[in-house]
Amino acid sequence: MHPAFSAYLADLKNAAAALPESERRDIVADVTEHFASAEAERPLSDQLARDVIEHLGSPDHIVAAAAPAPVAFSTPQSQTLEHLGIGCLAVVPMAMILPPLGVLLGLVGVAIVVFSRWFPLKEKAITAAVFLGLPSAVMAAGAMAWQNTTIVDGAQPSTSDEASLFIVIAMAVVFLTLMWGQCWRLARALRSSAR
Amino acid sequence: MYVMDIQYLAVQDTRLYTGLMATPVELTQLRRGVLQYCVLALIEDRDRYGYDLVTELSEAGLVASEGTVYPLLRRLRRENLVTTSWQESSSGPPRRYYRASTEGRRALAEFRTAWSDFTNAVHNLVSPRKDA
Repeated sequence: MHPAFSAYLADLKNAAAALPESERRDIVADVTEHFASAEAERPLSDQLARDVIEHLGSPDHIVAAAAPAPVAFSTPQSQTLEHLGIGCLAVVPMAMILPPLGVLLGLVGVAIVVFSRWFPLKEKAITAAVFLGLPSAVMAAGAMAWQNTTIVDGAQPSTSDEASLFIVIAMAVVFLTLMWGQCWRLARALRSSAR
Repeated sequence: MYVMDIQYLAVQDTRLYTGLMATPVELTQLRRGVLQYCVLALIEDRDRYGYDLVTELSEAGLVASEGTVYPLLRRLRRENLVTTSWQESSSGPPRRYYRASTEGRRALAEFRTAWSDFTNAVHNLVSPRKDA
């Protein structure tokens, strides 16, 4: 066998390491036969051997074709955890009646979204900005305002309640607007699991 | 997402690798979808070995990376759409020959009807209008 073919087969075996044993054996056998047939057809110069390899495609490529059916063309994997994350975030505004619960749900939701492979980077950034960035910014601004006014003003608690209500509503509105696609998917998943 | 990314990279890689796939991603996916029926048609009523099939599909411009046909053949075998047999070759080791099974021929017949309807419909819609 041409040395280029032997080298290719070694690469293929490595690339196929993650596949089930029987599948790996079949692929290596098929490609070995392919090379043997090419050599049987005509004597191979180095250039012709390179052409055969080039037409074959890279080992990674063949292994990718052997992997289980692509997600895009089959039923999607279960996304229970991701739905849970979106669910947590969606109820954060209501859960703010009990602030510790709301904060906890918010952190859990953000963690799920940020660490999930399923959400695009943009949605991760939006979620983190809405649930971590926005409240932090508003709290920082509030703290500064409080520092400036606390000495003068006795009615401070009521304005701060109104402010936090406003923050919660703003969070809900911003989140639903930016992530409506995800919320819709969650609603659809809930509806289909209810059936 | 992850798998889609791999597909996307695979398509990009194909273009670099053979220079044959200067076509939109959609065409690549369409080609991938019909490939198994092209294979079944080639072995509908005669035995052919892997290399023979693969090079014909490649020369017809239906595959960019010949190697990716082998996993497809394996799947067809697993789904009992093809039968295989080992036959001696005049030069070199025995080869695995493929032939469409009864189920394979039935699947091909169904595809032929559907494909003909599909291409007619698409043709009617996308071909340039004479009156325009």
